[in-house]
Amino acid sequence: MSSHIVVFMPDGACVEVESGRTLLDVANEAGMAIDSACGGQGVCGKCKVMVTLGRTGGQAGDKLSKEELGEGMVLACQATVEDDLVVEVPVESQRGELQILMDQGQVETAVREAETPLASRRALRVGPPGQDGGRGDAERLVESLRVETEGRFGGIEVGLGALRSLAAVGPAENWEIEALVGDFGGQGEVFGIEACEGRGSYGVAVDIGTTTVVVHLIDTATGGFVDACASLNDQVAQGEDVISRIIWTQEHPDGLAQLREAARDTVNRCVRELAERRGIDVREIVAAACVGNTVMTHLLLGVDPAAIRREPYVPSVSSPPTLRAREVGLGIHPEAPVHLAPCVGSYVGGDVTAGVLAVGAGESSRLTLFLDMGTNGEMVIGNREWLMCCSCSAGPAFEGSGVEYGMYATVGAMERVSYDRETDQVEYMTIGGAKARGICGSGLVDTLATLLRAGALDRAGRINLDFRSERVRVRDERPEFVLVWGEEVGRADDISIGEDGIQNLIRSKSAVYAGAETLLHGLGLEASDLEQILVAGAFGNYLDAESAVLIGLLPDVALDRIRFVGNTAVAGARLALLGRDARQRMEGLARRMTNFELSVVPSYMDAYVSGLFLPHTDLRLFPSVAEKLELTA
Amino acid sequence: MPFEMPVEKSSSAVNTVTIGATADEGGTRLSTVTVGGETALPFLHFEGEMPHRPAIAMEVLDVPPEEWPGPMQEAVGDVCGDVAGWARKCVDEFGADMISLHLVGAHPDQQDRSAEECAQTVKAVMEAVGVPLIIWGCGEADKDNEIMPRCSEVAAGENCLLGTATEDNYRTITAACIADNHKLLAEAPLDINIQKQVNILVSEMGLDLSRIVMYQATGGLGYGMEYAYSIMERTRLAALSADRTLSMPMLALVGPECWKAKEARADEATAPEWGDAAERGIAWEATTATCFLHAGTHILVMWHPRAVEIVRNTIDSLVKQEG
Repeated sequence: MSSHIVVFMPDGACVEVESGRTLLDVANEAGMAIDSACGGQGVCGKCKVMVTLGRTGGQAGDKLSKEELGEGMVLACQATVEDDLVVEVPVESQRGELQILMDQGQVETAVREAETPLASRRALRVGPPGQDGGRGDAERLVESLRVETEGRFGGIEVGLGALRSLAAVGPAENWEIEALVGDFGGQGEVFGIEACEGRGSYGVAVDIGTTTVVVHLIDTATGGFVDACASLNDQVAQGEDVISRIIWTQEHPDGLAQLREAARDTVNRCVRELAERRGIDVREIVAAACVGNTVMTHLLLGVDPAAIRREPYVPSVSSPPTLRAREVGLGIHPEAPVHLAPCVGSYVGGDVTAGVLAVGAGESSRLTLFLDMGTNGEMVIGNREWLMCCSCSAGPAFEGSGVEYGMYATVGAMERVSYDRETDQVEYMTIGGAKARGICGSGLVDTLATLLRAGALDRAGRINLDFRSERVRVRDERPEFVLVWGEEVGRADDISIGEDGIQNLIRSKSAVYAGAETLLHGLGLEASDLEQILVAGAFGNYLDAESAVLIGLLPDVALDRIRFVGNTAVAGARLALLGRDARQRMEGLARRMTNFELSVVPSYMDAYVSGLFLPHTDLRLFPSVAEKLELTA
Repeated sequence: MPFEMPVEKSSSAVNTVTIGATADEGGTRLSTVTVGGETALPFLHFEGEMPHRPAIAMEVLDVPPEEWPGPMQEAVGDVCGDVAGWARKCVDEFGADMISLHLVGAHPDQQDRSAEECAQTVKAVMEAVGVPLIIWGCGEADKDNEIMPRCSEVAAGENCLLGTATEDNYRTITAACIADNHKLLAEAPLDINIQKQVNILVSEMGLDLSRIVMYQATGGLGYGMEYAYSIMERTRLAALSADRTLSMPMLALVGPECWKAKEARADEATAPEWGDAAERGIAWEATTATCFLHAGTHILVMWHPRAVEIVRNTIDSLVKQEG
């Protein structure tokens, strides 16, 4: 059998494989996530890809129109490799929501770890009473569980609620029952006894962001992803960033309770929506793994976060114990265990710990910069030997807040944008291929980059009113650039980017870049020493590395060292949900990371101010950008 | 042990900028002013070169100033209604190296003068004096974008210094400077970083960095002078450490800033404890100007002839090299 080279665009992922394998299979190996709801049966039609070079074998299937076939469209799960190929994966076929590109090692870890989930539903056959010296129902239950779980728990206890159910359900079901077993810090606890009625065993991985809450529904039996839901954090009404939320709790008598409720309500709304969509009972959700920054963690638990803002800036709790859903107020099975990712310090939270776990930065031999772009921009530099981290206030601009047509990365968000000066056309792609509604983080990065290159924007982020295009205009005394004419997408107003939004974006990107620069400098390192830069956050499904460097968000390193890894916080939560090993490693990571406090480094402010330019006031830091913009450093 | 003077050597220099063009150079000026070129901090002749002395420009306004303080009224009150005569007096009697013409009359809140009227003023001043000109707009962005291209045009070839380009409004004036071959005054609000950005922005429009003079906003004595001082000092240090985007000569607006201060203006009846009103404002202006010389200013824009004389003497003594 011969082997062929297959390149997947737009990522440029490249693999060499034996002929005869399906494109879907090969894409997985290449780390290119292609949607396939039917699992490769050729019936859902979600894995459409375009073959732009070479020929494929296999069946065409009946999911493609004549036009699509004419364009070279095939179903990735049916088409086989018979030639060297270049395959374009359209945005709508890229796997949505959970876009974290796990390498093979991590995928295997996830599967193995599904054996020790935070909670699971186990079908049991408990010996009937009266046969072994009159031991009680609960004791016999524990005995059969011990056998079933192969001694994975230090001890197993039966909760009061479960005891009560056992007395009723056990005899009625002839001792063939299902036990809900949770892992509370290595100790097993039976927190529910139910009849075998084919109920599911789900968990939720919850990322409580300052601005956005993301919930993934996971099947704890297989570890598989089921569905996802995102919502704006209700706490936004009480302040945009963590500091203003803390102030809120101090200035309002019920502030803490109010914010706690807001966090809980947001999560529960997502959970209900997922349950409805999937037709399951929320009681079938038997575990939750939550990650959040330190303030979000405090607020979710109703712990006063005041200490975070007070010298010596030490949080009340860094590593909360495994709690119960009813204690936290989550609308899942009330007795279900709730795991909270451990925080490093006041301003580096569990979301970072989870992210570092998910991307494997703490186990890698390569010097890595891991950057989580949220309202708080957190970054970690290090490898398996050491990890340093810091946090800066980036603001929510890249999550779409503070930018007129900015939006969170959901359906209809423009996630790729490019402007052609010659034709005066803006090309873009939206998430889900829907009509454009606004611009998400990755689209905003692209927009700044493409307008800067075209000269429609100057390096201070001001719109060039002399620029010859109808798209440049002044509305309400504010200069703006029109990206999408309303009539093109059937809306009354045009989608544009204005100077105010651009200034917010520049402030955000400068805060992040200055953080990375200061941290590197503090370590005696240069950006060129970084062997990889992994960028996480709510940008969307992708982030164009070239654009990100062009606007000065990321250091000017070789583009192949930069990888966008999606929402790593929720990916880490998923790992914690599925494996005890992951939960323990998270604890270890949180302890290993050394916090570098930017606020006490005077040069951080200088670095920030110098960065308020595109890409930077000091072009010597961005030689490749200087070349592209034909400027002299 | 004999004392050995510690010497810091710098490898780079402040840009050298010439303002004004003589007949040989395509203009009609009788003299030109060249500033910059230093390779050391101001007047530290033992550490480096200081090839050109700082210049003094005297400011004239196109409308007679309101509430002119006594000493100013006395010095130039007779000519302040005639901008060309005022300029001539500054050069002929007071020895100004340059004239700094401020077109305040164009401001919509003032007389809202048209571009053509302003251009005629420029022309009149140009004909009245033989020294180089600094031409300032009225400070209102839209209006300046209207008048400055025309003023630039009538002064084409004269190699004036046109001001000002700011971060928010730099395109029109930069284009005018490029078209008519002038030098550009780039302004920032006491902010090194913004100064740098303005310099970059105008240079990216095609105006070479060597054609820029920086104006970083000025605070008079008692009103933020030390802040302006440290900004200029840091800028000069940046130039000496080869930061090309901050290597331009600097200008300070001494006269108008100093004479705003109540300490400079108040008459003796109002503030008897402050001493002689005739001397006070002059001292205020001369002190501020002298401080800025030490901060590294290249062009001082001044008001009072007596203060100009004092500062000129100071410059004389400072540029004189020992041995």
